[in-house]
Order: sequence, then structure tokens, then C-alpha cells
Amino acid sequence: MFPLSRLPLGRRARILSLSAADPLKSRLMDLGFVPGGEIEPLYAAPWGDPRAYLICETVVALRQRDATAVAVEEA
Amino acid sequence: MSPLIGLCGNPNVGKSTLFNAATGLQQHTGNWTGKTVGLQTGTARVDGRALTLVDVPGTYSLQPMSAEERTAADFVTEGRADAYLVVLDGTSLRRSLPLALQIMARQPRTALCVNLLDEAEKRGIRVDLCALSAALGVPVVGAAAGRRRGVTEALRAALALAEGPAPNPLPLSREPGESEAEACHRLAKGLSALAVRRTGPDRAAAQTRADRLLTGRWLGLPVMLLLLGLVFFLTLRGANYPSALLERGFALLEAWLRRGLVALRAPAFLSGLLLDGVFRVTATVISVMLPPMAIFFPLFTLLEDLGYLPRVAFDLDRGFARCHACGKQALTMCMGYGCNAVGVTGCRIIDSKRERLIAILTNGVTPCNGRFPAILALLGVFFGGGLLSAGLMVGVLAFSLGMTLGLSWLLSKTILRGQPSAYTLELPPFRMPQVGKVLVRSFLDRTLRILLRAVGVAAPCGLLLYLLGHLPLHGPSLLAGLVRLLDPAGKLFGLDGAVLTGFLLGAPANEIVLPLTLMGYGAAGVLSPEAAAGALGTALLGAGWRRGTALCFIALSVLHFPCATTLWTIKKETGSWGWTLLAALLPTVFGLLFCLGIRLITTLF
Repeated sequence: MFPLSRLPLGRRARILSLSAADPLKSRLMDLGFVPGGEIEPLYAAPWGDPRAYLICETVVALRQRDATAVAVEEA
Repeated sequence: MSPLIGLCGNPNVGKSTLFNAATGLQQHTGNWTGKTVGLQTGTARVDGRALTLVDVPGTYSLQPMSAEERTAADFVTEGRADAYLVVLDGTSLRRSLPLALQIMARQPRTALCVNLLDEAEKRGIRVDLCALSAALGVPVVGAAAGRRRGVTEALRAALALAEGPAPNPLPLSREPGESEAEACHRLAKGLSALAVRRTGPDRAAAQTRADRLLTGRWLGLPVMLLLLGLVFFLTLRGANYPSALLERGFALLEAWLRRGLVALRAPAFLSGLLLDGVFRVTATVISVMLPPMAIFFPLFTLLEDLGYLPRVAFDLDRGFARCHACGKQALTMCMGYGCNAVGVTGCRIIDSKRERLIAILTNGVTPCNGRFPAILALLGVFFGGGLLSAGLMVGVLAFSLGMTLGLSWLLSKTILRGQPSAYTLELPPFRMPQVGKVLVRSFLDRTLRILLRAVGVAAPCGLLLYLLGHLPLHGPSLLAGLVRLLDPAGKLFGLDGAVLTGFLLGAPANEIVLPLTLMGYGAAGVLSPEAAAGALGTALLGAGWRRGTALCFIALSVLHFPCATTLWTIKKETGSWGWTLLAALLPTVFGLLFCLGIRLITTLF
């Protein structure tokens, strides 16, 4: 188990839990970041932050700082 | 009273497209979150019956996080509509269903419309609408609103609900300890497993490749500057000829009107007031503004519809994060290129109040469409119409971007201190813009509307200016007095009294600042025929302008108080005169400092 921010680009993982506080937590859930969901970092912005993730068939960008709140395990 | 149908859904699922297809209204749709601000209402007809359709801003849940989402949540929870039509994304039901479930739990008269089915088909996704309808017990209609498929059927379903007996509300079965949101997500997962079948490969690989290229470490920023540079180059090159043509046409019309007034024996003061005042200022505004707008807006709309703007926000986010601001500010900044008042209103998409204020206060630093023509014209006159000018134009953009970031940083370090809030940004798939539609729509929606507003401001301004230039009847005019009064201050900042007068009197609309300046040189209260692009150079060189003067003018044009309309919008959005005053003072102070700097540098060399 490790934070989403450390998952290398192009590697798939399964979401385990969200440790974020509430405004971020519910927004992440709205976007499909729920335990059990599959996620894959697709590409990063020019300075490596934020990164774009494939989740629920859509692409969502998260700052690295916020991505540490999502715990994942390699799928 | 016709039944009221609320059109709800996540951002970016094609709600506005469906709304437009149903009502025939030309609301601008954009391929990004937060395009719909406020509630838009239109009338649609189904089977000869009228119904009122409300386009509710896109939201992910009924627990709102931004002002814009609150509008949407209130509209649903207060039950203001007779029935609700929830639009879902056919390519990602899993994502759209939680909101639909939340709405259904509150409003039993809800129908679902699974949109973007054409896109889903292309991506190898098939949605079983019957299974979904059976599982939820509500009407489910499939649609591809961009191709006008399924629009009438969806409206018919909503209309039937609005007029029929109320169905039983959806029982939301919650497991112990589960919040409503969590329950909705669990149900959504099950439902999408039930109704969605994959018939093709897993995802659009080409999309990712394009995105890697457009947002990559090495290519992201150059591609962005190149694209914007290209847009400005085309605008710069393309606008000259039609501008000259319009100018000539208006000159002919003016001569013809003048003969008419003479034939009517109108007094000289009246014909001066009408022709030299009102008509000439209006004609100048049209011939200087219309051609660049008619080229710039369609090009910009193409980029917007393609879905490129969220990539800009993605690329630039690091910069805004460093300034403790919100990355979505890049989007409101892009809106500012069209019109700062629109950009300021657009700041509603930013969740945190602090970050929203930063975005509002710095929006005026983005040169709007009213300032571009003057900047482009000056670059053309003083630096040639070629690559050097286009390069400098990109430089002007980089300068305004740098100032946006710099001022955001300054604000977040001083009066608007705080940590950047959490930030999520959707990157919707690229969608092929419908070129013909874009051309017509951007012309009608933006070009004509802004032009009409500018003309509405320019005509009374022309009147006022003529009076300023001709009163008192004997001795030097008020305008000449003002120019002389401001001259020492102007000279200090590398400009002159006429330019400062132009900026001050141009407060109602930025597009008339340069024509006003030219008037100041004549100090006659009449726009000289040179005011339009054609012989601009001769007039300015004659008034002693150098390249440095042009640069000072451009710096001040980027950095000065926003126009009256924008200031009024800022007052409305912030509800405070204090913030409005700051929005005016902050850029002006920096603009004058930059002018001082440019003047010092150009006198040294």
C-alpha cells in the first residue's frame, strides 16, 4: 500500500482508501475515487505536477499534494 | 403556464448542447467545466406543446462546493421545476449516476437522458437503456444531442412526468454507517456493471498520445505559445484589409450624410455633433474592432470547442499553485481574452473564496478583446506587420501571464494569505468542433454582441467628446485643457497628456482609448480620419511617438483599471467597493511603474 502520488505513469492500481479531509474527500468520490476502483496515471504536466489519471473512463488531473491522500495497491 | 423542466447533470456531459438543440437558443457551449454560469431559460416545443427548459449549471453532487454548484443544488432540493431531466455521460455512466441517484431520491419526477451515445459507440461502449430503466423504475432515453438525436424523446419523457401522477421516490438503500454519497457510489457501480457492455478496446489510446504531446515536459508550453501566436498572427494579418475597406465605406457614408444635413440646412454645431461626434467615433470603433474580432473569436472558439483550454489550465497549474492560487484561474484568464467582464463572472467556478478573489482581482491584467486591436495596430505600425510583431504579441501575452501570476503571488502573500485549496480538473476528450457552427455561433454570440455593446458605449461617448472638444465656444476647449493638464504626468511615464486623457476618458470601453488619444492630439473634439488603422502611423509619428512610446502605451494598456463594465461586474461579484477599488488601483500602479521603467531604459540606450 502506497500513496497515489508515487504510482509511476502507465501503471495500474486499485484504490484502497481516501485519507483526505472533507471538501476534497467528497469531491474525489464524486469524480470516482472510491475504494476498489481502478486507476492509472496517464501523463504529467510540464513540471511533473499535476498528473492526469484515468478513472471511470474519464481523465482527471490531481496535484501531487492532493494525490498523497489516496492510498493504492498495485493491481 | 407551460411546465418547467430542469436540465441537470455533471459538467461536460452535453447539457448545454441538448439545451440549444431543444430550444434553438444559441447559448455558447464549451468543452470544459463551468461553462454554464447561472440559470439559463429557454422555450422548447414537443408535439405542439410549449415547455420551459432551465439549463442548470453542471455539478457532481448536491453537496455544493462552489457558488455555481450551490445554484444547481438549490434548484433541485427546493423542487423549483415540475420535472427534472438528468443528462448522463454515455461514455462514463459510473461517474454520472451518483448525481442522478441523488436527484431521484429527492425528486420522484425525474427522467434520465443518456447522452453522448455516439461518442460511446466510437469508444466501444454500449449502454443497455432498458436494463437501466428497469433497475431504476424511471424513464431512460438515449441521445446524441450534438447530432440532434433523442432530444425530442427526452423532452417528451420529462413532459409526461411533469403532467402525470407523481411516481414513488427511489428508495435509497443504505448500509449501516454509509453516507448518502457513499451509497450512491456503491449503487452506481452496480448499475453501470449491469447496463454497460464493452464491445471494443478499453480506452482511446490516440487521445492519450495527443495529450502526452500537448502537455509534455518539452512540448507543452512551446505548443501552447505557438498555437496562441498563430491565432494572433492570423488575426494581425487578416484584419488589415477589411479594416481599410470598412473605413472607406464609412467615409463615403459620412460624406453622403453630410450632404443630406446641408440640404436640410442643419446648423453647423448640430451636424458637427452628429457626424463628427457620434457617427465618426462609432464608425471608427466598428472598423477598428470588427475585423480582428471576426477573425479572433472563431479561431479561439475552435480551440475552446476542441477541448484545448483545460490542457492550458493543466500545463499552467504548477505556476498558479506556486502562487497559492487555483489552477482554474488559467480558464478564467482565457475567458478574459474575450472579455474581462465574462472572465470575472466565470470565476464562480473556483471553489475557495480566497482563490476566487485573487482570480477576480487579477483578471483585468489579461488583455481583452477591446484592447487587442490597439495593441495589434501599434505593433503593426511600429514593428512591421510580420513575424517580429507576432513574436512581440506573444511577448505581450507572456507579460500579461507573468503579471497575472506575479500579482496573484503578491495578493496571496499579503492581503489574501492562505494555502492553496484542493484542486481537481477534468480533462475531457478532444471533440472535433463543428466548424460551420462555430463560425456562425462565434460571430452571432460574441462578435456581434460585443460590437453592439461597444457601439452603445461609443455613440454617447462621441457626443460627450464632441462637447468636451467644442465647449466653451470661445477660447481653448475643455479637452485641450485636460490634455495640457495631464501632459507633465504623461511625459514622466514616457507618454503624454493625450494618452492619459485617452485612458481616462476611455474608461467606458477600452476600444476607444487609441482613437481618443488621437483626438487629444487634434484637441478638436473630432476623430481625425487617421484614427482608423490606415494612416495611424503618420498621425502618431507626427505627435512625436517612438517605439518606446508604443511599448509604454501597450504596457499601460495591459496594466490599467478595467473598463467600467468589468468594474461594475466586479462590484456585483464581490459585493464590495473595497475590492472593486483595489481591482482598479493594483494594475494601474504597476502599469505606471512599468512605463517608468521602459522610459528609463529607452532613454539610456
